[in-house]
Amino acid sequence: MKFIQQLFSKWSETDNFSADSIVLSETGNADVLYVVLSGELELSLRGEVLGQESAGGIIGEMAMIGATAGNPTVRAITDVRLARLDRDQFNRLIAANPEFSQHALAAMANRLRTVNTFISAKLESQK
Amino acid sequence: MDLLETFKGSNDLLDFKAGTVIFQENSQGGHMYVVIKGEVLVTLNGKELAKATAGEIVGEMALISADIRSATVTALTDCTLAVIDQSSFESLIRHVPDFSKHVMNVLVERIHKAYEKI
Repeated sequence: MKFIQQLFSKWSETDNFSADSIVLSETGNADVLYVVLSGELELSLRGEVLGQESAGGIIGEMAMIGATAGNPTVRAITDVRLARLDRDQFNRLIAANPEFSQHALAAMANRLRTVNTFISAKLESQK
Repeated sequence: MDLLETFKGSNDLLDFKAGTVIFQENSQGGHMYVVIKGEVLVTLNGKELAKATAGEIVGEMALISADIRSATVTALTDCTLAVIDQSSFESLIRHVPDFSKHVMNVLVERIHKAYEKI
């Protein structure tokens, strides 16, 4: 994810989390979203592991629609470095940078595919 | 962004009779659609994911990630859809930030709904 690392190379608001720490909690509120710059994270909801994110991934996406709740729990698997954006910063980036728009759209489409596949498999196994 | 207003005068409108399958999950897809009139049903493995009515979009997933269709869409009523092909879609993403933002919001809303089912 070189493009993302370059785009955020001078981003001043970055957060580091060490391996095994909780970055976002499904029971908590968050009004930030994060773009993963390095490291690996695991997403889970109600004890079910949904998938992983690495460099270029976006977490806390509920902030895009102005929601503070509804994110899954995100745990750092390794030490991670994240760029922190609020909704306005995110919107400005979308307006200014079509490559980033495309990237964020792809990230959200992949998340939706992952979650829908998970739900579909779960429904199958309950038959 | 009001997609109904933007696309109702499109030169590329298609009519579908109630019950017609508009596209099928796992097929290749090169178009997305804006519902102009009527209602469509979105399903995966025969299970309802969502319904979409005037102003709402379907089929965007295959364009965004250049991947197979993530769901099946069927006309619930007679309906009219505006067709957006891959190159128009890319041009909209490139030149109309409000369009990108709109599509992104739709995806996040759908993710939000999907999370509630887990």
